Amino acid sequence: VRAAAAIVAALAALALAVAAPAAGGTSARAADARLALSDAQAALVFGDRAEARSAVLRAGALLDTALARSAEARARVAAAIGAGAAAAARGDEVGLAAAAASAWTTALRVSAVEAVAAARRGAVDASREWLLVREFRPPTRFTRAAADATMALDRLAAGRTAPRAAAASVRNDLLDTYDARLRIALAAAADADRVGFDVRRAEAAAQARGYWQIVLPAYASQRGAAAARTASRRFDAFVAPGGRFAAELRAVERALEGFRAAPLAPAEQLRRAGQLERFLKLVPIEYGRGVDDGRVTASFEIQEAITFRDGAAGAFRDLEPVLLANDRPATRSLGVTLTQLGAALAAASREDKVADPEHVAAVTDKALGLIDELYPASWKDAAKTADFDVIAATLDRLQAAAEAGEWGRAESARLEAYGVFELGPEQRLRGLAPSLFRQIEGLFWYGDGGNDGLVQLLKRKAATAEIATTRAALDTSLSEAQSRIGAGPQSSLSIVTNSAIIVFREGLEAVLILAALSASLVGAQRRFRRPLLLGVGLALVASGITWVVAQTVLGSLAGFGERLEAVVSLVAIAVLLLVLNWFYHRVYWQENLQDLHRRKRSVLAGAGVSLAAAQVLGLVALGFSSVYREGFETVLFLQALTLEAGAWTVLQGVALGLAATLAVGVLVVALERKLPHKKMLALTGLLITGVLVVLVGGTVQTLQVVGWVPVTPVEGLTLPYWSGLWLGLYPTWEGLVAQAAAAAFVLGSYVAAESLRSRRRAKILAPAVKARSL
Amino acid sequence: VEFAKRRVDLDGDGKVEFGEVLPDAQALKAAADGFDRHARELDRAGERWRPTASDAFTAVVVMVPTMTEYFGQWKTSRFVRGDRATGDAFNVVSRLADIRDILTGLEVIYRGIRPAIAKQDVRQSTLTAKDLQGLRSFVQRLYAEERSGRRFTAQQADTLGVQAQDRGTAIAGQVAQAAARLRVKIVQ
Repeated sequence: VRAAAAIVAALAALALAVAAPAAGGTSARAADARLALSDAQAALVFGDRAEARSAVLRAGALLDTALARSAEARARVAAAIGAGAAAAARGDEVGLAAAAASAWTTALRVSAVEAVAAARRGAVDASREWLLVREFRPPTRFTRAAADATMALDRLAAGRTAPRAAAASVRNDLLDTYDARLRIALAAAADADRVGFDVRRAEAAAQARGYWQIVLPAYASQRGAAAARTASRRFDAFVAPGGRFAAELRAVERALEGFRAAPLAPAEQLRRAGQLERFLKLVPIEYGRGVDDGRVTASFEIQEAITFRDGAAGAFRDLEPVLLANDRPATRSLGVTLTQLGAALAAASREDKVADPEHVAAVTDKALGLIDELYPASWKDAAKTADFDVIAATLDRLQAAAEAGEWGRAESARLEAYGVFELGPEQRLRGLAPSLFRQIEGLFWYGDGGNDGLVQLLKRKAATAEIATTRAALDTSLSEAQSRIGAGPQSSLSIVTNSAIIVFREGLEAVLILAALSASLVGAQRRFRRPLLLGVGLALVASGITWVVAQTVLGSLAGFGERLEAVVSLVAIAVLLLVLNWFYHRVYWQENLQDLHRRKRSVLAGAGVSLAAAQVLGLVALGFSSVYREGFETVLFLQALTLEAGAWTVLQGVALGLAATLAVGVLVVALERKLPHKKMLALTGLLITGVLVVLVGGTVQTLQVVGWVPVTPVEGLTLPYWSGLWLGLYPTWEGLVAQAAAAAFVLGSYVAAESLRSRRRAKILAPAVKARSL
Repeated sequence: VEFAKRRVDLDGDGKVEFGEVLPDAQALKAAADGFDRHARELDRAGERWRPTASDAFTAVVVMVPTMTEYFGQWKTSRFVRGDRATGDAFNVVSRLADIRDILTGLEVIYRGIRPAIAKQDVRQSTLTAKDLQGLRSFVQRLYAEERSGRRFTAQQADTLGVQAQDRGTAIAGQVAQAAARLRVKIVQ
């Protein structure tokens, strides 16, 4: 065997000398070599052994020149090329795949060492040349290839960093990359073994061993030379043909357990922890949407579930060393559970076996339970940090659906992304950077800063480039929002101010309704103030209870936020309409004309008991719904701020906001008292009408947010952000028509009351006129 | 199946095989009209499109996840698995044609951004151009072999798909580096 190997190596060396390397530097030669190795494998698939062998030898010659500085690497490459050429000659796809992987990863190892060494010498150009011979983490929806090494060399070239620091960045980037590729190769080998693809298994195993040799020095420095030697032996056994694959794979995985070539910084750990938890929660949701009655009904939903599962598994791989140190059995169990989940989703994707959604949900719950056990206390809120990743992934889906012309799916992805934003980052942003939150909301809906909003773009089926422009603006704002939230509050003063604004903004509407109504309840109607105030009192108590509940179950409560607000707002509108009707027909008419129809009123009084009871109930409901719909929302926003700055700071803001709100209320009441009775009534009517119109606009918008009412933007109409915030005016047909209808209803009610009054006046005065004329 | 009108031996080999079917004339007319309309819309949209640097760099970088999905679909399509295929997607043209077309488009896009990359690093700009061209030739060859009647086994399709994806990942990685150096944002 040795003699044969020596002959093959000698032949290979001879062939390397004969085959002329291409012109160009190290990177060009290495790139050509890679293409040649790939072409060789393809040629063998096509059955052309001679072409395959020739391509292998061409690759060998190129690598031999490219790696001229490392005798050890050249010898390894020569051996691999010899084995590859022999395998090609006999049509052995498995042997060629393993040899090609071995030769190429040897080149990667040399390039990694040389790139770091050159950076340490300050030789930027040489380091850049070697960095062209490298691999990257495969990009996913959540990650792009890191550019840390590249940017470190730019800083070094500009004199902004020292060679040692640049070399450390280059080293970390490469170690992180090859560590990730090592795990991916092991997973690929296991997958290939499961489906019986021996070519892929051999190739992935050889790649894994090659990547291992790149990260080996880091392993030795963390675990000691003896452990490194043992692990190397495991890898040798793993790639040896005829071995017990599954057992050797387990041995290799055990050796790597808890190892990370370039350990994560604490902030990165927290981000990964958030991704793991958040992505995992989305898996059963997506899967459940794609499966019905044992069949896959929407394959893209299954792909989404796989994407989120893969994102979670990637995050788990990065966190594994930290989690193992915390609880080894639970970490292993989590790893196994994630693998099971992946297998179930893959089987459904192939439609081999479609797992029941409840099963997928149960496996996910098990994993989430383990996460709960494993995460240290400082990671408990980590899921929130992944909101931005989820929004980005959902917006990717929006763009893909729009590109495919599936506008319904694109709109549902928009609402989903907005939902994640609204329930998570928005609540904190309102306190930390209100203008940023408005920008983002504008881009999701009706536009901001010259960019159309997504809802407008989707409705008019805009071109991909237009959507991409708004997306880019959204990405910039979201990324700024992420750093603002990450940085926490800039000062207590900003939190106090923002809390005060939230309370004032939310309280103003309620106070205007209440002040207007209570000011109009004078004379005999004064007794109706009590039920109104009772409703307000009840709402304040309910808001207090909500505050207590929110402190314990903020997340789950927030999930109902918009829907609850929508329902309470609808109740508020209904009650307000009823009261308005009553207001015009009874208060206005009766109070003004009581001298003229005293007799009539005494008749009414007899039958008016049940009417009065209904009015009392109506006023309690009005008082309650007016205050609670604002109170609920305020509690949620303030909770988010409490997490940022503590209860004391937030309460100062609340006190300020309440004081301002009360001041407005008192002002309105005082103003009304000074006015003559009739003018006051007119003002009150106008005020309530205005509040109703704003309330209707805001409610339609809320109903659109929860997807209960469609969105039809008014083309060409652009409204400033404040018009939505303060007047409930949004450029959609649904909102504007509803507001116009509400105004028309009130005006109609007034006109009806007026005409009724004229007729009654005429009726009452008719006998007198008749008598006088007689 | 819903729109199939008649099964016929189109290639005259004496057998009526998969795909040898004539559609309902009305359905064919409707589909042809639809294609015509959409093709015109696409053409107009293409004429209007003025890509930014970010669009161009993003297009190259995000090709890898797309290609991975397409290779996945190719491996489970009737072109590879024959009658054992389980995917219910309507495949008349192999996904390889789509992948080749994407790569051809990316070469055009890359020609637009290459000067900017070359200003930073000539070697890198050349390397990426060569890699892109090599990857397109690779996929073109697979497609040509398939068109000439070769049927790949599932394992061969896997091997070839992995080769292409690895090459694509290397290209995307290099372009991401160039984008970072040029401060061009890759849209996620």
